[in-house]
Amino acid sequence: MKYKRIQPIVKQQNRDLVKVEFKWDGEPPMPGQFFMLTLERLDIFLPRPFSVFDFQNGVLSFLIKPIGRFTNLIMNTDDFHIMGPLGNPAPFATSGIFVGGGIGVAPLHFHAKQTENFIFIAGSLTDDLRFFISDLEKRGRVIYTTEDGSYGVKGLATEPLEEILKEKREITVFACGPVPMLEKVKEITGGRNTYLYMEQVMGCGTGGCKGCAIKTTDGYKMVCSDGPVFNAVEVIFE
Amino acid sequence: MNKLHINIGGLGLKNPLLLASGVWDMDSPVEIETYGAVILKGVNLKGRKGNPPPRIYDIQCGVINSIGLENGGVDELNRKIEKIKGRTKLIANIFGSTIEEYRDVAERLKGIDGIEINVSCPNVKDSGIAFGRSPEYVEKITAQVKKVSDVPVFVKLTPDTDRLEDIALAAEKAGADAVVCANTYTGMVIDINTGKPILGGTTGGVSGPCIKPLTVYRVWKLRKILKIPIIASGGIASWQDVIEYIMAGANAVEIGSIIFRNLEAGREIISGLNKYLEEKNIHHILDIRGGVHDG
Repeated sequence: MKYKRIQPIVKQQNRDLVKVEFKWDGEPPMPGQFFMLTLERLDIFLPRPFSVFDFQNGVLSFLIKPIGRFTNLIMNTDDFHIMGPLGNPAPFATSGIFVGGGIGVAPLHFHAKQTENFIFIAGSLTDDLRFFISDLEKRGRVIYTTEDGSYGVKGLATEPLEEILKEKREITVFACGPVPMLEKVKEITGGRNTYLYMEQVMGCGTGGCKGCAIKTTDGYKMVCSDGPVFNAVEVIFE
Repeated sequence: MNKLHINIGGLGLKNPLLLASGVWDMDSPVEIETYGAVILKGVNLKGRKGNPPPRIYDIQCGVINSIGLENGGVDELNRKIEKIKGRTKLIANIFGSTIEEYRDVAERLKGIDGIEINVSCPNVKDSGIAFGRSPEYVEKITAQVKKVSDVPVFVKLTPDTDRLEDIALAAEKAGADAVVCANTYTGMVIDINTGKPILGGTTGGVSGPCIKPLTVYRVWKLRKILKIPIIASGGIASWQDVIEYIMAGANAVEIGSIIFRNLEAGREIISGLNKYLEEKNIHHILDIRGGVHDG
């Protein structure tokens, strides 16, 4: 774990998504892990957790959808503090199905690249994700879905999952995205061999403040220090 | 001579910078050796599961939290203390839902250098702030804890009261070795899309730079009436803030929320303080302390 001041080397915007890249000489991240980014300005006080979109040749990248006060400033900011890698690595699997909803594809992209055989389902409202994740098409099968059918398969990301599981019942499923999507994934698999990337507002990112609690069958657990990837069986949705 | 070494109620500290309760837990990667002392997360007798999520939220220039004093109870804390003993001075932060519980927790604690009585957490309904707004309860709790403790006892006050002076005097009368001024301010944030509170606990405690002037005022006010030392706590983000609090009358300070965004805040503050004292040719940090009493 390293904490330091850092400036991005590349910022790339396509439609409403931004990829930010940093040179990283600290400990290499594992799939599932995340970093905290802090802005210099005090009026955005808390650091924000970002999962790893990619890490190769010493370049660490994050895929971000500007939707809040912090993320909207990213294109105009060159001065960050970074801390990481944080959290626990995701469980290892040689093959898996990855189900990503919207910006939830970010950590799954990094994870899938380190998985021998994979099927990657990327659900979005438009074809915006493909610009950033098409490199996966050379490594495995990628299915794009849009709700209105304007790109790829018409429907939700969870629909192809249901089809695929009819044949590959023993395969591991990793999912990241909006809560209703995660609930649906859990419902489809019954929680079997299923791991969910969970999200929560964080304070410290290191297990100190007990701020990022989620409800589990074993009481409250912290996304930063117990997760961020949880066995679907233990996650309680409210 | 060490310009930062201080003594509070018999507790010698290498510097006046304490890490506030609630921001660090045993495994998190803060360099606690930097601090004169660390105050451990709040503990009661049997533990507490904490408040429903979301528990923390960014406000402009600060944080609102509703953690709810999640902890595993005093026996678990004793086991954890064994593993970190010797890294720096350790102060336990204790709370309870009865006067007797405060006393019992204090009695069972092992391996600590001081006790901070928490009568000021805004996030638990059955203890904390309810006692902290009553001078009578603060006096009773402090007296009971003092009776069973052989380490210095500090009382962490709530700023959310119009009886701050009475409450602080009650702590002093009951034998407190210092007061901590102050805990977070009760606040609330609302999601304008749903019309519902953002925090799972509905209300929360506000901390961070946005509260600093409010707490500086309270420290300054208490300095005029108390004989015992004051440990200031509220929105410190830099060494300049520490100087300001000491000028207001504090003997030491706690930092909290700032370490969420700056893991090295402690080290930066200590180095800033040393440089300031050197440049201004000040013999000892408490030489600049304001107020009508010298403590």
